[in-house]
Amino acid sequence: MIGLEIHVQLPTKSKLFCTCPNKTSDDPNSIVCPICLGMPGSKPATNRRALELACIAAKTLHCRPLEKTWFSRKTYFYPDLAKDFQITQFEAPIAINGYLDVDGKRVGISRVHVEEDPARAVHDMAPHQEYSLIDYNRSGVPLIEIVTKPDMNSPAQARDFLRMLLSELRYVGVVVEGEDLKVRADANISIEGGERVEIKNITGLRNLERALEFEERRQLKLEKAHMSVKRETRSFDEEKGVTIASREKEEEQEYGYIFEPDLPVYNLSSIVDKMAKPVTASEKAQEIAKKFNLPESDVRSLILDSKPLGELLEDIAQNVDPSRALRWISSVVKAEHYKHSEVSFSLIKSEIERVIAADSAGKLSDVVVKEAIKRIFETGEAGELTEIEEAEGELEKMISNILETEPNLLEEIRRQPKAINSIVGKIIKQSKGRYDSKKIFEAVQKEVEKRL
Amino acid sequence: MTTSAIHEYIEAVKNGKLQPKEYIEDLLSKLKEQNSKSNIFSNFANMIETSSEGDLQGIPFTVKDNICVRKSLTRAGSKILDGYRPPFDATVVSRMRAAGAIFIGSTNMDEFGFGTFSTNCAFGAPKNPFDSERSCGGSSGGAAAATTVMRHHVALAESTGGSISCPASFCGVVGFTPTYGRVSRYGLIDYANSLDKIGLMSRSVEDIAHVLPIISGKDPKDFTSLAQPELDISDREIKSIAIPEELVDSIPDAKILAMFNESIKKLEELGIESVKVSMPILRFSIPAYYILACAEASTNLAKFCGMRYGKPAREYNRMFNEFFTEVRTENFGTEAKRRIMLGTFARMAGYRDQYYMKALRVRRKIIERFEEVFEEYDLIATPTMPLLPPRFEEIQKMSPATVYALDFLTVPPNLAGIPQISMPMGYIENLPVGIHFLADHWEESKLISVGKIWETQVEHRFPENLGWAL
Repeated sequence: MIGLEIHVQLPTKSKLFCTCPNKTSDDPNSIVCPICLGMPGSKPATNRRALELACIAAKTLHCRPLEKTWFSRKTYFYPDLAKDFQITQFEAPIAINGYLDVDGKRVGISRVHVEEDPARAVHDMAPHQEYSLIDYNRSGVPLIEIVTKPDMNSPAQARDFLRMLLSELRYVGVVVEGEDLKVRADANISIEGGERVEIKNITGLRNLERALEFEERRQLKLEKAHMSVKRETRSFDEEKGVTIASREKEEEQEYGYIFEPDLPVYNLSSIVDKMAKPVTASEKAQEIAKKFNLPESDVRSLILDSKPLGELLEDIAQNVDPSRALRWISSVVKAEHYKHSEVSFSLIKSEIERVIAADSAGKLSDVVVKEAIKRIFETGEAGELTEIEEAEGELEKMISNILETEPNLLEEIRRQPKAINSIVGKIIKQSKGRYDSKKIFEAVQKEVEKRL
Repeated sequence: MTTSAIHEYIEAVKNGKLQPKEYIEDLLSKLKEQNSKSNIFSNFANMIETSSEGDLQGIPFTVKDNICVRKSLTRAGSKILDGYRPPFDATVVSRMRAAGAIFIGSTNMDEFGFGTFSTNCAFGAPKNPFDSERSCGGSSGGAAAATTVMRHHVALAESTGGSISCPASFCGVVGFTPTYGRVSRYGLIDYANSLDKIGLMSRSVEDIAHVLPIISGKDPKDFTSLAQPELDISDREIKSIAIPEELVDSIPDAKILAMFNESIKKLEELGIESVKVSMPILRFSIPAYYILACAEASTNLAKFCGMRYGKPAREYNRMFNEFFTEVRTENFGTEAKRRIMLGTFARMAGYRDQYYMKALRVRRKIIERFEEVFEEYDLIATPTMPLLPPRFEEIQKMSPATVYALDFLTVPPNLAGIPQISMPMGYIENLPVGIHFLADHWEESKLISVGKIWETQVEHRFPENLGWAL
């Protein structure tokens, strides 16, 4: 059984309790003020936007908001904690009891709460250095913590769940791009009949799976050797790929929670109740798939990859063949979009639609469509679109010409069948897009086979 | 009868009879000279900047040592903050400065406010101007003594469980504690955030009425200040006063009790009815207060570990927890350590429900009882302290529990967060005795009104008319 505690940073403009910008900087301790440094006399002032984003997350995860919510102080001594206590939520989180479905598997969510990120301790500034450094730029950045029920059965499932969770949260704007690498999680894992082991502070999706895989193997080995798994906290060594027992004491940590007396009790349930339930990526995919009769999983993976691409599909599919729209948007448009992330769809949407519409009418070869879409991202316009124009025997003639002028090509193909692609490429160029690449490929294959 | 020193001062400045800069420089040199004996100040202002604008033109003000003053030594009476100069002014300090008042120094106090006699101050206890063998009260002892010795002056003080009223009473001045949340706490070095209130001390109620509106009001930097209704200090008719019998009956000093009964009689003669009420729940005030205050204090004091500010350890080559322990062991006083341990205990799993959570419920009940009484009566009155200012040698013999118990009159209103005023009630053996008026939440105007009435009944004694002046 696997359960996760997931920490993601919220994309607010400023930190959770002060007006310092919420951003990163290579210049340590450059984004700090008396509040996030915990200077005597400073007081927290809550960033309302962080609470709103947490509410959106809670709704997305089908959680029930609590009537009243408040902050608490969690006290422990550690150099990265500016006040030596963390402002977090204890008795009354933002919301409880939700779920997220991942490939037909339902994973329960116990709670969603907001808290401040501690500073970053840097332990390896130079080899053999006998001290650590603290960078408070991260101190006070808003986080949401999402706690799942122990509903996952394998490391792969945990990874898929976390990937889906991040994608869904990204879709509703609670998480930004790149969290797959930055997300921090604590994982609880136990094999049947064994004690629970907590692996603390795993960073990124990939490491989560690695840590859990290692830990699963370790526990199974112990079981096989008739040794019991100890209930303990471990940490994950990213370089070696192993989990290591922490030196912490085994008993439950004692945090001595009290109510945060500088902040009021919030009644967010009225806000959350009024808030329209955000349309999740899965729901949106379902809607689009049904409307245009498209395969739901393809639509969903497009939407989870990028919300704007999903919107483009929904827009364009009304006027063109929806399956062609899905095909081109999931392939060339997506690739170009990542290459030219600065280009806004609002400016080029009509051109993309023109190209896909012409393709839908069966007038264009794939070669022309690809080139046209690339041109749109580069220049804003698709330019003139060469239509399909086939002449009986023309392709075969072009192929024969090439094979005659370059007889060594046949030799090459005998040694390495893939070399056939170089002929295909030449024909694509010569035919100037008047033929579909598939047709060209078939013709080349036929002509080559005749001569081998 | 006392006249408003502030009005007098401002008039003199306006008429050109008084130059604030010269006046204050002269005052400061006298205060500095005297401080080696009186120990009222923990730090003096580096520079005097006068301004000719605002309602408090050139009025000197002092600041309790736990309120941050930019670039000026602010130590909250603790060695652990030795050398600390805050990078910002507390909201109250910047509001005073904006009104034209002039910061002249920080006043000594019990470490972080932990005490009733200002004897838990790392920089020495301030001495009572009426008798230097005796305590000023606490924890704002320096603020009260400064108010006694200076005629034209306002003190910013702070009360968690009675730290304004007690020293005001022992030093024969007016101490005003506003409703919790009335005055921004931004820049106050926290003792117990849900109880801390910044207030004022001065020689007259008129001065309080003049300055209170300046420091009050919402501050976006302190969320607990945002719930307040607007401050109104216009005159109110006071018809009735309730006397909680459980509190008054517990006062052991017959002379104080007799003086209080006389005072109530005087008020009746002035047309204010008085009625004895029973408030048995108040006997739980002291334990509930000490649990909540210490629980919060123990989290507030966690940040003092020699890492980011204040006094560092002598050596760095060790694990962080050993380093923190060394700094804290060396620099916290005994009372601070006691309250950290007490407060940590009260919030630990297994004890939290029994102590911390229960104390919160008791506080709720006490607030409800106060509200019931204020539905029927305008004010509540008691003596401020159950004893005369004690001698330092007597204090040394008191156990912590004995000292905590002495706060039984001042703790209940502080726990409830209701406003209070302590004023001179009279003098016994040449030592001042205070009367304490309490009002419902946000009803500061009733305290100002009763204060103006009461002020006419007692001739205040200050060093000038005691035969010694600054």
